[in-house]
Amino acid sequence: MSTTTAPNAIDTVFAELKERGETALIPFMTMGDPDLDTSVALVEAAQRAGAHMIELGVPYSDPLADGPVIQRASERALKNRITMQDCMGVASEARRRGVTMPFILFTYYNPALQLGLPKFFGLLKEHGFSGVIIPDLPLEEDAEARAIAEECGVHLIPLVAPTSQARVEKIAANARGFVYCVSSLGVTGVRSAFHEGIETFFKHGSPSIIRTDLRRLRHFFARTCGAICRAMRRRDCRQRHRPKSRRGAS
Amino acid sequence: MNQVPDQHGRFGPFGGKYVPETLMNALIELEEAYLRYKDDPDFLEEVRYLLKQYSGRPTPLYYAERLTQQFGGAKIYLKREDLNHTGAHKINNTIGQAVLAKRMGKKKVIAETGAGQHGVASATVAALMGLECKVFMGEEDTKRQQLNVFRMKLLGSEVIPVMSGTRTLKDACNETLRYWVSNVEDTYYILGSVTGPHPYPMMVRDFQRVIGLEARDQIQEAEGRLPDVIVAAVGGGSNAIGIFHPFINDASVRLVGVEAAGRGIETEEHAATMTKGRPGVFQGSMSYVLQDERGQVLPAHSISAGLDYPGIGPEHSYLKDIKRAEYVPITDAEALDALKMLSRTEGIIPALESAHAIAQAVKIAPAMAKDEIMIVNLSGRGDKDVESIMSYEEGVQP
Repeated sequence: MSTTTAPNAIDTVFAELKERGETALIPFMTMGDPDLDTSVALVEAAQRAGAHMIELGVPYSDPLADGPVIQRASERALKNRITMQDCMGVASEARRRGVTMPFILFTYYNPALQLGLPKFFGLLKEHGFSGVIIPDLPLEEDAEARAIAEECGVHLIPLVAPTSQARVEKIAANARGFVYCVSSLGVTGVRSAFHEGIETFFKHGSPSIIRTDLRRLRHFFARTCGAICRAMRRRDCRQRHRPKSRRGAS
Repeated sequence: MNQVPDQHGRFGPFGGKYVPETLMNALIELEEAYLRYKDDPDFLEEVRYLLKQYSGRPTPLYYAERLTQQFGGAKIYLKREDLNHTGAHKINNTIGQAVLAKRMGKKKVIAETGAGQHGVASATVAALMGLECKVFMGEEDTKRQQLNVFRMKLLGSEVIPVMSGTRTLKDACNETLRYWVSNVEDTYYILGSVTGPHPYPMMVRDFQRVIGLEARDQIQEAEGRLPDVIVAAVGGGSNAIGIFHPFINDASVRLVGVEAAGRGIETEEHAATMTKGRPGVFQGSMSYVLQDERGQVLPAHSISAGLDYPGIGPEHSYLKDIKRAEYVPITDAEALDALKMLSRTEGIIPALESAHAIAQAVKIAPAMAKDEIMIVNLSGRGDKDVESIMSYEEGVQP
């Protein structure tokens, strides 16, 4: 929309990393599992451990893109009656405590839709989010959300999958921030190998992504997991909670 | 009336394709294949042949004379979908989809099931066509419907108990979609109702329309005119849309969908999506959904495992909003009474799902004139429910 507004923090971080020739580390965690205070502490710990941005997950009753680890995290958080606003509150609280990295909200579409899209994006902006990922909102259905996101200066981050084929071009052409490359056929979770043919997928995917001046992200499972486990141990939550890295993504 | 859905799978504001990107090309491929074959004479002939010779169609439109006399109002006809092979309307759809899967070169199929009727119908056609079949069923439902689990296994299918979430139909659907995401390259998903992402609501409706098309001819033959009312049970809504659809442009025909009120719509234990839900996105489409104020989907309850579902097909939401069809709730207790009443009056034990439609039918029939005509879709037979009825009776009687 406007050319005078401040640049999105996601873009700024990528620009800095590119200058230094580094890749971005973007961990994910479900908010409110085991409780909101711990979530805030984990966000702080993630920054200390070297995360460049963080994905904050809104727990949902029917997380159909997620495997058992995140399903269970969602179930636990929902038992605590965690709301969308609670999740956003984690971001503003972490910011208040000195966390500077960009926040990206991860939510299924219905909780956002029920808030009303203008209100949802208004709240994202208010709580200092730079981006949002909605895994069940494909290109064909995202026009309204995309327009409002643009107006609010929040990046609606699209996903591409190994099965996307020719759709990659179309998706990347409209992308903001970065393109989330789903690296495995399947739901989120721990796995030892990527989808066969992932190399071709990236080769196929990268030209359009570079053309649209976006960068691919790589989630370093071991690093993220290690850092968060250390933070969890400090809070002595080992018995209640065994965090695992999620997104089978890069 | 406009043709729905449009090219985006929209029935007014409802429908669409709200799924992870991984599935988008599979849905597009499915839609293309369906559009290619849906008017293909060879394809239609194979489906028609199987419906007739294998499933036993056309099913009768039976004039329930004793039932009619008992209530003293409208003439009540029963569309006997319970007389299909495997005992319910579900096979109309699985035959269509299995023939399509074969045309698409798929060797593996998956299906979700609640009561087990769609699972059995899928396992049946998979056996018939030599397809490898996995059926996802909530662990809770595998206990409620042990007989159907065994039937599916006998038919050579693998039954996968779903342990996540509510362990009923809702989460069986989630798990089937998750499995499909992981195996989309060689697996065909036989979705069992007019729910989920486009093109399923349209395609399943088209395969179920045979119910209404037959009923239309049969009532013309029997009475020389169209019915005044059609009543059908609605979970996801496939038997209802199947009988409603060929009558949608006949404004004189009142269409009544009956949803499960469980222990009552004033309680939290019901599956009355239309009465108590509001529009939202759930399992791939925009439609009415039982949800809390935060947009979390609520667990449903019904004595009938097939209606125990917090969503409903998008075309029903559309028919409700344009006021072409009405949707009313019937409780567990009312359905059970109707089941017993029909068993004793007509010697037909209906499925608990269909008993909801019977319960509503006998509520409205007495107020109608004797020369008015009602058709009730008797979507399935009750043998599968005998055990749960027994345990329900033990539970409520001292």
